[in-house]
Amino acid sequence: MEYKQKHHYSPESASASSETQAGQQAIETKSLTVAYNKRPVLWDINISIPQNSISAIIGPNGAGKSTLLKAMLELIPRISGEIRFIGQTLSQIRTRLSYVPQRESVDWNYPIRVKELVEMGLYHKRRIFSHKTRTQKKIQEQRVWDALEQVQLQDFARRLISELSGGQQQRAFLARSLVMDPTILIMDEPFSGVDSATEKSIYEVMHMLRKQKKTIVIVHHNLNTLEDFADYVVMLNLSLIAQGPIGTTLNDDTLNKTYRGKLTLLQKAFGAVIEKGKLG
Amino acid sequence: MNLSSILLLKEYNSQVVLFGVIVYSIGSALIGVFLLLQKRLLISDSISHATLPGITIAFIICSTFGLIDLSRNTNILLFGGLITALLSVFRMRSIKHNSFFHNDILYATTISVYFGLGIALLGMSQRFSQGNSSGLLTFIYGNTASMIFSDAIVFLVVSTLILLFILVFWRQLSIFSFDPQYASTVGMPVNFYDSVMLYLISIQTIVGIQAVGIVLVNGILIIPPVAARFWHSKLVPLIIITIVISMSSCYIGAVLSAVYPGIPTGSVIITVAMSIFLLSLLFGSYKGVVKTFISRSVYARIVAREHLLRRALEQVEEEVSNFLKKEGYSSEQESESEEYSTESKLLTYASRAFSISSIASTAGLTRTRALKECKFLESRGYLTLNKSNLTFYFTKKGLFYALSVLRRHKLWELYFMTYTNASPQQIDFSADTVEHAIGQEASDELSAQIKTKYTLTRLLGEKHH
Repeated sequence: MEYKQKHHYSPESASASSETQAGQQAIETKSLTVAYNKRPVLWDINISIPQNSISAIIGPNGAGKSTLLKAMLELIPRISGEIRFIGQTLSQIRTRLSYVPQRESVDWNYPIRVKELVEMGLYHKRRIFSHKTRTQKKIQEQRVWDALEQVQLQDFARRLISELSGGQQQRAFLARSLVMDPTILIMDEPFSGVDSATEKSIYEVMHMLRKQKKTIVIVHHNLNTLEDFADYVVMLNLSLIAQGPIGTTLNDDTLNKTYRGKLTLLQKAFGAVIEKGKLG
Repeated sequence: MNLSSILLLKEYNSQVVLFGVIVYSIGSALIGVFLLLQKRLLISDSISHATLPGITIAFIICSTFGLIDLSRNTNILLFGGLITALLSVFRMRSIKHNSFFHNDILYATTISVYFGLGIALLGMSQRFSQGNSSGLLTFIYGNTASMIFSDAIVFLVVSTLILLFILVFWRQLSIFSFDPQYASTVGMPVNFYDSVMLYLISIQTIVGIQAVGIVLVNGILIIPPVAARFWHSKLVPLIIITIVISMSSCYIGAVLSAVYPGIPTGSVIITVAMSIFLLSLLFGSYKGVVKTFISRSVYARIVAREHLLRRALEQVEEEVSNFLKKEGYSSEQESESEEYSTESKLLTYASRAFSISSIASTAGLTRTRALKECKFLESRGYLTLNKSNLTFYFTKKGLFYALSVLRRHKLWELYFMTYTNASPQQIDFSADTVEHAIGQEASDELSAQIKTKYTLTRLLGEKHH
């Protein structure tokens, strides 16, 4: 773990941590509005996600959850509004931010091996013509292997990504983000269509990052597993319905508003259970 | 003409053509691989078709005002083509950014709209302008033989630019081609790379038009990388194989068209490239049709054989465990001596005749297939066949082989159930290297489990592993 210490005490991150004031929110949007043509997809969103939390963005299909992530990362343009990460703009904080896209967004037949995919995460630490010493190279190599080990893909390093199962593909993406050593990790539906081993390794990674005072933001679908890991929730349906610590925010009323009565009976029952748990 | 002079292209003109097409093929291969990876193979086709209106407009302007002797200098026309081509490329990009259109819609419309416009203008130019516009047709079909030394130098310059661009921005391009979204989240100047790439594709396409023609120029760019895809799965070898395929199609094409002077070189080159593509598709070492078919059918036979043996043993296993139950044995209480007696019992049971048709039906095989595999196993000395009543006996060697197959299958099955981290792709029931693949520790642990679970394997399999 020597390299991590080195990383933390380098002058670059020292200046960065001085900017990381305790009072700042990890992610803060002001009047964020996104529209396709004249149809708004996100309307006047003011969210503030606290630092060192695992936050889940929930909402029905088409509520704009993925759009919110993409707009925050400026992958799609916004009509109006402002976004701050720990008080900084995206371009200022880019190297400390990592995004795990939905698995479907990538061509999995691309001729690339798992290790090469993970090495992509080192991109921002390299310059085109910069000279790297042997120790630097060694450190980077070690980071890649550490990340692979964290998601239990070390035995698959030489494999083509097309030869991985869906869950392993998700973990390979996760490893690429871990290599970046991000302060904020943003994941778009990491649990969709993955096996239990992948679920477990995503949980482990999230908890490990939270221990290291990092912030994790995920778009999530399954309300039943929400309480297992999340401690902050953002409820979205075109506009912001509610946000806050999960215990005080997630209740029958907000769930109904978010899902507009479209909740299945089971999910409603779950909402009632939460309500009861709170009262009792 | 004598053959060696053709093959070595001793004629000066042929040498120029050969040098030109080979240099061009290198640039094309480099561009083509990235087009393939970025899934926009049709972009160069759109570009080449979009040049026609520009070429014709330039021709009309020049011939109307009598600016340049067009029979000698056609570069001004290509410059006109470049303008409409760039117009179309960047218009396509802006449409893509601001709409839900996919690439294919953009390419399909661009190709037909610009080419149609070009043909219309061509007709008009024949009516109204004084110049002889029939020469413009060479742009559509190409005329490699007219290539002069300065053309070859232009190819060299463009190919070198492409090579430099790819070498300098190698990392960025490979990330950007794989996952453009990721590239922009880490703050890569994605638009810059994309624009430079588009300029290079446009220029490479346009300089090739005179030689190969608007209709065929795309072929040189895209056929070699697609063919190369059947030979390797890694990026760098893929590029090298693409260059080799591209160069050899150009060389063979140029030589062939020297032998048969009537046929345009461009079309010969494309035909050669297409033949190489077909050969690659059939015989490629990476997912080639023949290789896939052979390995599939070989594997299907192995699976059929192993299932056959396994089903036979399972019949015996059932009988033995029934026997043991009747005798009052349970798996916990067994002494050494009793084990030996059960072993001899087992051998007696296993040395009975097995009906091929009953085993075939439990193994999900037709009788003819089962018989075929039994014959194969007999040739290896595993069975003795009785063809009159379609039964077989295990030889001693065959029985131990069947036991090892059974043990291996059970190991894999247990491994996959126990270690949830395992991937289905890792499993290879027919591979004898279970221990190697899953590691000695896991293999020992699972063997212990098998020992307590399966009577037969416990009794016999252990001795031979």
